[in-house]
Amino acid sequence: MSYALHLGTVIALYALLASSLNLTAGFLGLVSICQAAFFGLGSYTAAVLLRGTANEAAVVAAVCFVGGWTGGVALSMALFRLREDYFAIASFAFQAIATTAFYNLRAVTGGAPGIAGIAPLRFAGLPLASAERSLVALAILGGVLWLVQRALLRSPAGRVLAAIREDEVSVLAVGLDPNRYRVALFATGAGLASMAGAFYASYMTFIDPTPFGFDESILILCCVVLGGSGTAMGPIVGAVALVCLPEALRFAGFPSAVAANIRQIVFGAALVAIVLLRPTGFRKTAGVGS
Amino acid sequence: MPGAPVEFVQTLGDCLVSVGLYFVMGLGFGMVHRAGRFFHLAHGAVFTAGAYGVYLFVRELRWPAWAGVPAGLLLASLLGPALWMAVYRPLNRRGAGPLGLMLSSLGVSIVVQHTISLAFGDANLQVREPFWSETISFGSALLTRAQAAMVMFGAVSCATAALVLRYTRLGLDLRATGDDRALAETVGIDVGSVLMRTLFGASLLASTAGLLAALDTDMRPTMGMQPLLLGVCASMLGGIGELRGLAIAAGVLGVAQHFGAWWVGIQWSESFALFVLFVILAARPQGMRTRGSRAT
Amino acid sequence: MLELEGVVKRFGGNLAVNQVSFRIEAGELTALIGPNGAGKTTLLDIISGFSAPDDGRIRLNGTDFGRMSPWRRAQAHVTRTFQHLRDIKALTCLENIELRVRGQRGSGLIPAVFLRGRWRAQEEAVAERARRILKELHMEELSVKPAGTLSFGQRKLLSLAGALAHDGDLFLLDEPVSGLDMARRELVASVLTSLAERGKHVLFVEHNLQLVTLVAKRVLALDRGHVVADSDPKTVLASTELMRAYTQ
Repeated sequence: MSYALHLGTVIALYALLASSLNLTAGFLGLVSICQAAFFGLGSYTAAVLLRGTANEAAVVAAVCFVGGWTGGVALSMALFRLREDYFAIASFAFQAIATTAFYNLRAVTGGAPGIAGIAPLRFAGLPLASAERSLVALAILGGVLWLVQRALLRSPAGRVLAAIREDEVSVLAVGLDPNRYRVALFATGAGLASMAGAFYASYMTFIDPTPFGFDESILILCCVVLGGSGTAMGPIVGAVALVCLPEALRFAGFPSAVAANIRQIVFGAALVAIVLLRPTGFRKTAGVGS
Repeated sequence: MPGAPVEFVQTLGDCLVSVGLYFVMGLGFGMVHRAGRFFHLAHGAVFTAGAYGVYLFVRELRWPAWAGVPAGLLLASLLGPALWMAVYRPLNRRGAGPLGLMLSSLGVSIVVQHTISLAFGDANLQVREPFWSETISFGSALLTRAQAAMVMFGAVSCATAALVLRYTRLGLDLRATGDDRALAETVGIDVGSVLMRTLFGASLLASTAGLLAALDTDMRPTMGMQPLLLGVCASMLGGIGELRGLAIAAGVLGVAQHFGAWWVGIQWSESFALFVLFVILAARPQGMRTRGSRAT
Repeated sequence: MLELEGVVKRFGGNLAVNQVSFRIEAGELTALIGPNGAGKTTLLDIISGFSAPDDGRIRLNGTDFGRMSPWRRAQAHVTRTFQHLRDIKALTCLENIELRVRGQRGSGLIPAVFLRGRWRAQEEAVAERARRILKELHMEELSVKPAGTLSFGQRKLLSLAGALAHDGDLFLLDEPVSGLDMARRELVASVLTSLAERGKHVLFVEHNLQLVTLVAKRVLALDRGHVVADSDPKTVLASTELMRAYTQ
């Protein structure tokens, strides 16, 4: 039973992370490979905050959200002029810098050994340490995000997003600035991933740089594209599938090192397969003159 | 702060080794981009495959070096054309854009890297060949033969690339394709074949570099990521596909990394290079720009 | 009134637009003709803000466009269609038209999700207007079809429908009838005429000289970036200079 709860909590966590990336990679076709970096940013921020007296869930989550949001604004504003493949590379570089920072800023992050003994978040006095409570908290957040995304898709803004994704020149010709949407959604996604990090730190009580690296960013991206980008439910489905997969491998008896490698091979192959199956899903219409 | 001239020359020597590596990686990456207009991120995996390929033949299958080395390198180099046939060409045919090609490249890279992990284990493998580990002195700098070979390899690749681009059929076709793909096709250039051959050449460069790097330091499945990243940085800094720019950029990155390490600490030197990449991308996106209000 | 003064655009060493000046009154349906490469689309790009001129001024109803970004011009004044059709294939025909209506309160991210009350009523009006436009163009049955499944002619009309929905003061239409069958051409002709009657500024690029003669009040002929003729259709089309340009 407790294993199922733990698995459920992990699924809820990745569903939230995948949903956060969905805002840009799914709705706008803006692929980035740094969601885990924001996840880590939030986790370490929360770990630091929880050392002190601030452990009210709403406050810590809000601080983490704002931190991630700010980073997201800065990053996207610096990079929004880039073509989509250059943007992806830049996000990749950002992820690499973040990973180095997580390993080397030992005073803040504890370096490779990480930070242990993190106090739990508290909501109205109740500690959110257990799997049940963390699961509920994450599920609520994920549910709200799902509803928000659904509402967005069914609104006039939803049409604009579909247009930005396919052909931003037509959006300009309507009288809207696609960059405002890009920055707003990227920053919000970054903030949400950061916020998820706070709950992760609280639940696990121990964090190290491992879950905040390139492999995880790829996993989160796979959840989004595998589940079907452009829908609200897609990333959640993707998260369920991709989190359960390594668990299935473990049950099949593979030793964990082997399972970890197989898992990554499957993700890599899935990425190739997705692109092969929907090759134009990652293509934009060219500029005005052509 | 260290001021003795000995340290300086040594650092310079180490710097040149890195410059050679980054140049070679940037060269292959850049040429593929010129031929195909996309980011071949699997290039780092080819680097790793070169090292492990030779390891497979020489250490595990116990072939003699004169057979095992070419066999291993060839196996790794064939990854390039194999990728073309299995992934890039079908994607091109189905109208995938540069992002799709890049993502598929990334996927392949992950598959190759973790397959190597499965086959050889995650841990660092020490490859000590006495001949290649022997140090040679260049003035007051000590470099191992493997390191010296990397520097030479960088220089030789540069010269060879310049000659190939200028005087061979492939070189001409590659330049034509890079300038205007549609026009190149009209005059009868088989752009697919150009890309495939470029991929082979680039992979040969990367796998050789991987072998030399393995002879210098330890091998591990993730060894290709850093050289690739810095090769990409050098490419972007110098102008993708441009030879002279790449050489200068590789030099700049090498200097920044090795001499910068005196101030910043060696563990940040890679981040510094990445930060440079960042600044370039943020500040100078001509040719990288499609968004915004530009017409043609 | 749309005023262009001394507009110049260079691409490398090439003068694509060379000292172009003219004035178009509201309701004065004007055609822009010329051989390929004359600079017609470039001129439209410049007026709509997608290309920055190297020199010259553009004013609409007294407002100098200056360095205004294309989306600001589109927001306030300029409606534009493109030679290469820009319908959004993921959306239905109706949605494509609804997309192009200006001033929708629900298009911002925050209002879309959290302030539903503000745009619900407006959305009804937008949908109604889109349906009316589809009807006007005899395309009602295509309302829920995804734009990706349409034929070329239907997509062309969809592009015009979007322009009608956008309804700026200035309409810049790039080849509104090229590739269309006769029935559709007549439909477009009547739409253009009614736009002019409603007091819009209309400047359209066309190769179909029949349409030009039929609806245009005025014709601007462009050749290698210069305005080589500027008069009523009959006079311009009879001009030998123009015919020389076309046949070279």
